[in-house]
Amino acid sequence: MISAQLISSLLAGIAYGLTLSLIAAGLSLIYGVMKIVNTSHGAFYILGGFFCFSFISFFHLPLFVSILLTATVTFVIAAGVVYYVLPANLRVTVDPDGQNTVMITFMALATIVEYLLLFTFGGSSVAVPSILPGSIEIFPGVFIVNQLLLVSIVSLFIYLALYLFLKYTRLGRGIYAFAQNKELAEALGLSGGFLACVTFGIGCTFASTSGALLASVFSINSSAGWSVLPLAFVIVTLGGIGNIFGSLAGGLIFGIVYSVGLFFIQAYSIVMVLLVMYGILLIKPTGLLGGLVERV
Amino acid sequence: MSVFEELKQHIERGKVSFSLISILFVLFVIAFFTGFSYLCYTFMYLISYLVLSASWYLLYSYSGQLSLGHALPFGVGAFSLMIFLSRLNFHPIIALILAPLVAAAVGGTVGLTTIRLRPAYQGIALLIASQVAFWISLLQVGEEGISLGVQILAGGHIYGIILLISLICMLSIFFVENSKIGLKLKAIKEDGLASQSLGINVTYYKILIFFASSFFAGLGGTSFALYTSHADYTIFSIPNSFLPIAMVVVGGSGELTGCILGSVIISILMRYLPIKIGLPWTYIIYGFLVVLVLKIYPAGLLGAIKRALTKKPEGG
Amino acid sequence: MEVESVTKKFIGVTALSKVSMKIKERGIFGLIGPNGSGKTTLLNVINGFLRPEEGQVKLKGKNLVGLKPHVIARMGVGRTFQFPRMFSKLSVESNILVSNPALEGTQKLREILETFDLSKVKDKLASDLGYGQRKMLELARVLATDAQILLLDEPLGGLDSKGIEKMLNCIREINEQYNKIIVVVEHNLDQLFSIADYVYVLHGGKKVEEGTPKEIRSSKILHDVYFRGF
Repeated sequence: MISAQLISSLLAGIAYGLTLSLIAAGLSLIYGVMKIVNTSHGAFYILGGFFCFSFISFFHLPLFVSILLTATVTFVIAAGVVYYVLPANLRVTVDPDGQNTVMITFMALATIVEYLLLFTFGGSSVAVPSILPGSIEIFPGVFIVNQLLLVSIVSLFIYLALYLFLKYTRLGRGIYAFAQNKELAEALGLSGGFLACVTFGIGCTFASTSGALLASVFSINSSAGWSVLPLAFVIVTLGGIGNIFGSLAGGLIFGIVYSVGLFFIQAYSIVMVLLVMYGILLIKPTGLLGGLVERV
Repeated sequence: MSVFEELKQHIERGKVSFSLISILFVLFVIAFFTGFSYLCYTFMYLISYLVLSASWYLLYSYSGQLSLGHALPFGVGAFSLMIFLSRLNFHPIIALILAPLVAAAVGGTVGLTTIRLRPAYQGIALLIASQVAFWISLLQVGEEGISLGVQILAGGHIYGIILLISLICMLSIFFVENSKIGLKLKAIKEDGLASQSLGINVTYYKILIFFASSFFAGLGGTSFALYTSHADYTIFSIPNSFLPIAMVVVGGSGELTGCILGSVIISILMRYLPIKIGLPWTYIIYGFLVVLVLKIYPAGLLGAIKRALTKKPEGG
Repeated sequence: MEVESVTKKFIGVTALSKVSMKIKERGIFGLIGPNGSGKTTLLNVINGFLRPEEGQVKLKGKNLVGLKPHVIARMGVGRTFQFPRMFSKLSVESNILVSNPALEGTQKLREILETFDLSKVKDKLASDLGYGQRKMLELARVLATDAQILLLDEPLGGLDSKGIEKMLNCIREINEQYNKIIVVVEHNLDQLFSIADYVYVLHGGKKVEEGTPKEIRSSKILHDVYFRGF
C-alpha cells in the first residue's frame, strides 16, 4: 500500500541519500589516490557541522558564507594533516603495513577531533538554523522539508562541480589519472605526495560541507562521526570504489532502502541497512557498479 | 625433545615477555592482599585491557589482519556473560567458559567473512560490524544494559578467577608466539604467496587466528563484565576498538612485550588521568601519542627502551 | 610428472596453448624461450597459482589442476621465484624452518646450510642478505620441504659470474645428492645447457621443440625463436 506518508518518507530518504553521496564521493576520491579508507572521514563530517555552527553563532555570519568558510578551513586542515603528519613515503602507499599505519593514524586523529569537540561543546548536539523553514507540499499529503530539499539540491550542484573539476581542470584530470594508474601518472610527472594533500583536502572538505549542510536539517553531536563513516563506506561500496559517480547511485539506493526501512521497521533500520551493505561488500567488494578495476 | 626442554626453549626465546607477565601476576596477587579496592579495580581493568590488546596484537602482528572493530568480540564476551548469568541463570563456571566461546564464534565468523578483502576494507568491515553490534545492543537492552544485581560470587573469588583466566590467556599467547605455529604465522604475514608455495595453508591459519583472537578478546570482555557486573552498549563503542590499537602501537607493535608495556601504561593512565583532566583530554592525549609514535618512532616505547639499552657507553 | 595439453588464457592473451611435457625420471630439465613465451605462466600453473582453461598436470597419475597451491606444495612440488621472496623479518635459519620446523637442530639442517654456503649467516635477518645469498636461501628453503620436484624460475638471474658458478654447482649437487626432478626456467642458454639433461623450448605459448641440449643447440628452431622472432 503506497501511502502519501511513504512517499514523503521516500523523498526525504532520497534527499538525505543524495547529501550523503557527497561524503561518500569524498571517501571514494581519497581512496582512489591514497589507496586507504579514510578513518577520519566521520570526524571531518562532524567538524564541518560544528565549524558551521560556530561561524553562525559566534561570528554571526550568514549560512552560505559559513559553509564556504567551513569548507576552506577544512581543506587547509586536511591538506595540512597530510603534509605535516604523514611521512612522504606513506602518502600514497600500496604496502599493507603502510596502509594500516595511515589508517590507524587517521583513527587516532579522529579520536582527537571527536574528544576536542566533546570537550568544547559538551555532549549536546548543535544545529545550524535553516534558512528555509517549513515544508513544501508537492502532492496532496506528500511533504518534504524545505531545508532538506535545498540541501540536497546544493549537494547535487557540488557534485556537478566535482564532475567539471575532474574532467576539465588540469588538477582534476591529474587526480583522475592518478587514481586510474599510479605509475603512469607518476611517469608523466604527477607527484603523488602533492596529489594526496589536495585530494585528501577535497575529500574531507566534502565530508565537512555535508556535515555543515546536514546540520541545518538535523542536529549533530560529537559521536555522530562514527555513525556516518560506515554509511559513507557502504555507499561507496555500493557504487563501486573509485567510481565517483557510483557514489551518487549508491546514495540514492541507500536513501531509498533506509527510508523504506525506517517507515516499516523504525528503530532497526540502520542495522538493517548496515547489514545489507555488509553483505554486498562481501559478495562484490568492488561495488555493484564495478567501477575502476582495483590493482592488488 | 622432552616437554621440559621444549618449555625451556620457549621461555628462552621470549624471556622478556615471560618475566613481564610473571611480574605482573605477582603484583596482581599482592594487590589483592593489600585490600585496597581501588588498586584491585585498577588491576582488573588493566588485565581486561591487556588481554584485549594482546588479542589484537595477535591478529595484527601475526597475520597482518587489521581489525578496527575489536570491540566486537570484547563486547560479545561481556554481554554473553551477563546474559548467561542474569537472564539464563547458568552456573557461573559454565557461563565463564561459554562466554568467550560465544565471542570466538561471533568474532571468528565475522572475521571469516572479511578474510578475502584487502586490508583497508577488512579493517573497515570489522568497524562496521562493531557498529552494528553497538546499535543492536542499544536497541535491544537500552541504555541501562544488563546488570547483575546480586553478587553471585564473592569479591575474592572474582579476583582469583580473573587472575587465572588472564594468566592462561597470556601464557597461551606467549607459547603460540614462540612455537612452530608462530613461525608459520609470521611467514604468512610477510609473504602469503611464498608461504603457500612452501605448503602452508594460509587461509586456514588466517581463520584460525581470527577465532583465537576473538576468543581472547572475549575473555577480556568477560573479565571486564565480571568485575563491573554490568554490560551495556557502550562496550561496543569506538574507543574500545581504538584503545587496544593505541596500546599495541605505543608500546611497540613488533612484540608481545611491547603490547604488555603499552597496555600497562595506558591502562594505569586511564585510571588516573580522567579524574585529573577529564575523559576527553585523556583520549585526546592518547590520540596524539599514537600519531606521534607512528610518525616519529614507529618502534614504540619498546623500541626506545631497546635503543637506550644497546647504546654504547660514553667514553673510551 | 606429466603436463598434458595445458592451455591458459588471460584477457586478450593466450599465454599457453596446448603445452605438453612428459618428465619421467630424475634429472635437470630446462625450459627456455624468449620473454613472454609463457615459461613463468607454466610454472604458475603447475604450482597451483593459476588455473588453466584446458589440460591437466599429473603427478604420479594424480591431477593437480584445481588443487590449492599449498596442497600441491605438500604433494612434493617446490618453487622458487624470479625475484627472491624472502621472509625479510625472519632470520635465515627461521626462513628455512618455516618450510619444515622439524628440522630444527638437526644434522640435515646443518647440511643444507653448508650446501648453500649459509652457515655463517644463519642468524642474520633475511633482509640483510645480499642478492646472491637470497637466491641461495630460496633454494635452501625449497629443498628443506623435501619436495621431489623443484621448479626454479630463473635461478641465475642477476648473478655475477661467481654467483652463477655457485648456483650451478648447487643445482648439480642437489640433483646428484638428493635425486630430484628439477625444472629450470632460464634465459642464460649456455649455462643452462651445461647442466640440463633435457630441454623444452616455448614460444608464444606453444612448445615448439624439445630435446637434449646437444640437439637443441644445433637446431634451427632455436635460432629462429630467439633471433628471428619466429
